[in-house]
Amino acid sequence: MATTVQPRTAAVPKPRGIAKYFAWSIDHKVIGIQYIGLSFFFFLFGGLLAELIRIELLTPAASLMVDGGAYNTLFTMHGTIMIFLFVVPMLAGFGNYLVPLMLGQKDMAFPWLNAFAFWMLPPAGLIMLAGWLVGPAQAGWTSYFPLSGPQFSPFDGQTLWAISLHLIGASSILGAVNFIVTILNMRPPGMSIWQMPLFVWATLATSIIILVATPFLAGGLTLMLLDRLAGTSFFSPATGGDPLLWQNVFWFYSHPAVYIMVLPAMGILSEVLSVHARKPVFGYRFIALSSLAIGFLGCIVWGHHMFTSLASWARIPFMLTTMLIAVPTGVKMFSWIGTLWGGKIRFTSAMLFALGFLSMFVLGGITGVFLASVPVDIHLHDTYFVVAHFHFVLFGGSVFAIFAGLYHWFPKMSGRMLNERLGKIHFALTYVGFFLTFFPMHFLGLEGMPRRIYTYDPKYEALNALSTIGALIMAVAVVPFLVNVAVSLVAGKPAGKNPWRALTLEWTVSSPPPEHNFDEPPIPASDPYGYGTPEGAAYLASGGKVALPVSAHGHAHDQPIERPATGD
Amino acid sequence: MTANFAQMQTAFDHEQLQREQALKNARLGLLLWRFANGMAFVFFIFANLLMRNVQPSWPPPGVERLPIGLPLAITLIILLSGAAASRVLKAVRANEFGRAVRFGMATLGLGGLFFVGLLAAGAQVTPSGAYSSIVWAMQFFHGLHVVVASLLLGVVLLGVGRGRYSAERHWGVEASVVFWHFVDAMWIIFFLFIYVL
Ligand code: HEM
Ligand SMILES: [Cu+2]
Repeated sequence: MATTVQPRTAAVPKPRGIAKYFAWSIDHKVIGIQYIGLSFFFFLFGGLLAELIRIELLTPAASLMVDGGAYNTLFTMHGTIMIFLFVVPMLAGFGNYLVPLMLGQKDMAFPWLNAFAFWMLPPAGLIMLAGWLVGPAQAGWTSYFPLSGPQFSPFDGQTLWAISLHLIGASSILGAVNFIVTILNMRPPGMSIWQMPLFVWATLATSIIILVATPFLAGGLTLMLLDRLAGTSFFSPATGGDPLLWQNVFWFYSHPAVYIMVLPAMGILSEVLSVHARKPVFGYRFIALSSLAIGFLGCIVWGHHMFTSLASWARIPFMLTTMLIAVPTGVKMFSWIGTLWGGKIRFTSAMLFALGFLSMFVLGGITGVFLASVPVDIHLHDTYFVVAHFHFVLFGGSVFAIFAGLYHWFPKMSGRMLNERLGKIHFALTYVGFFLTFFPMHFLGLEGMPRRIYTYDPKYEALNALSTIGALIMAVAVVPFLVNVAVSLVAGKPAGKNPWRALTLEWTVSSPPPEHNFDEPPIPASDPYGYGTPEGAAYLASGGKVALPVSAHGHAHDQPIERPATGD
Repeated sequence: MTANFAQMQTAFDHEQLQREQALKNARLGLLLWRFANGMAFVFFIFANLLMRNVQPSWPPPGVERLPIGLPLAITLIILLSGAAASRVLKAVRANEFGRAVRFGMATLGLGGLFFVGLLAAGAQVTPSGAYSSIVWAMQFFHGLHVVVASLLLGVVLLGVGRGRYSAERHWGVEASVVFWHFVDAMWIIFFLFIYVL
């Protein structure tokens, strides 16, 4: 496949250069879209598996599945794919596309490495899927020993699972190095670290977490592979190993991974809320620094997944650190509400998904504090309450933010606007379907329905039926989205440079941006969220050419409430 | 004429600036890589500690403590190799490329000796379940890094021989030497956890 570089003279180029997304490219914009495209494919695939799960669970008896093994494979692959092949690379895609543009740069610090990191993912995906050819993994996305050991997982799919995650982890580490260097070393003149867009802050914090935590995943997978292939005994107690070793290292990675999946989503949220509410971000520094605080705390809470297997003295510190995370998270929630307060809110599709995040993530956060409390967790561990909790944060949080980001930046990436009416239908169906699918699971869990079972006591039937109906509504919801993308790519309204009248640098160049991004070094706005301020208005009026100095009493961020919301 | 010269000057400055930026980026990139790579070494220490934790004693009952003579000897060897590696960088910075290659060969030779010693140390371990598993894994993991560091340094030395580097521009040499030191340092820590503690 040859890379054909279309000369971009027309304001809106035809989406012809599709081939370049299937070829090696070191342009961060191409790479960003490659990440987004690949992970969206896996979202649909993982979603398909979820629908099969829900159809099986419609009735208490076995219906689709011949045995529990097939069901085990379904939830294992669903969970693994959604996390490692959808959310993590999707957010990396946003980072790749946006960070250099937001920093006024031509590309990432190491463009070749960037492409290399991306191209580790398609093989990883294929290796994961190849599990179906040799007997797929069945040990859950957590792959606890002994379930993942030779006794219960003799098939090679479990080995492929580990190899695939190894590749994804390595890709993620290389990406993180690239992001940190780009962000720390390549800010344009006139943009201090306190004037970076909050999405860039979030990417910085995420990348730091990746560097700390992902090597532990790699290490744990190495031991799993050695146990499976070289006959070592790390996890098997029969030969002196320790099954808790895997649990410890897995969660040392996987709890921080929750923040790898949610901090960039929160970064997207800060951008979308401020732009579409025409209000300066409330508490800019608090939002920026709380990402670092969450990142730090996130690395010392892993034991909360193991309350039932941990020595009792170790439970209390893990419970307390976990609860502490609610503080920086709450700081963010209140800052976002402060951002909305008194704003001129525009209910665009992007904004609706962002508001969806706010409402759902709060619920997931609150049930998280429930589960952090040891006596509650001992009771609810491995029930549907947990399934409800993590879908509220992962779907209600990350996925809603991903859609908010797609609606917000699609015009920049493609040069075309998405249709707002279809966007709203997509949102409404997703929101209702989501709530219907996952809210009843709280009650199922409280009533004692365990997770990871394919047949269940008939007393749980009614709530499960509701949940399955919700899942079907969500399946329908992606149709208007896909139609919208397909139609808008060809026939959407031309977006122009800055359809949302936003202040960050990616909006000062044409849509889509030229290959080199900026013809001349851009001038960043002194306050990237100065909506409704004279500085912001002047900057927008000049088309990003004039940045006024920061006002005498510091940043506009710190006292937005008194300022009348004047629109732009 | 003057305008032309000024233009050339700016172009030159621009290139200079870009090169400085690239070097700055590469240095930070390598630092971050060492951090992440170091976390993988921390992982093995963490695993080692957890595995001790489930045993009544370490080594576990019935398993003999490993002899320390050979490991101590290879530790000294790798320290020496580190000293030689430092000289490579120094020589390149002084434009003494012949010397750089000689010290580079010494570094590689000592690295090779270390590697052979590491293999022999691995052979001293008798299979004993958990204990031999973690010891072998740590030796294997470190050995892998020695191989990678040697390949890196080897390629760079070929470049030095061909005159690819100068006293001003030698990022490749710097990177391979820095990585060599990283691998040395990691062995010292592993040595403590495998043989001493
Ligand atoms: C179409 C939307 C989705 C539906 C209907 C759905 C449904 C489910 C159900 C019913 C389970 C529990 C299976 C069981 O324990 O027996 C499950 C597990 C899981 N889901 Fe989803 N899910 C959806 C989207 C997502 C997304 C977007 C993510 C992550 C970003 C995700 C991550 C997970 C994980 C990690 C598990 C645990 C797998 C395991 O137990 O090993 N899901 N999902
Ligand atoms: Cu957790």
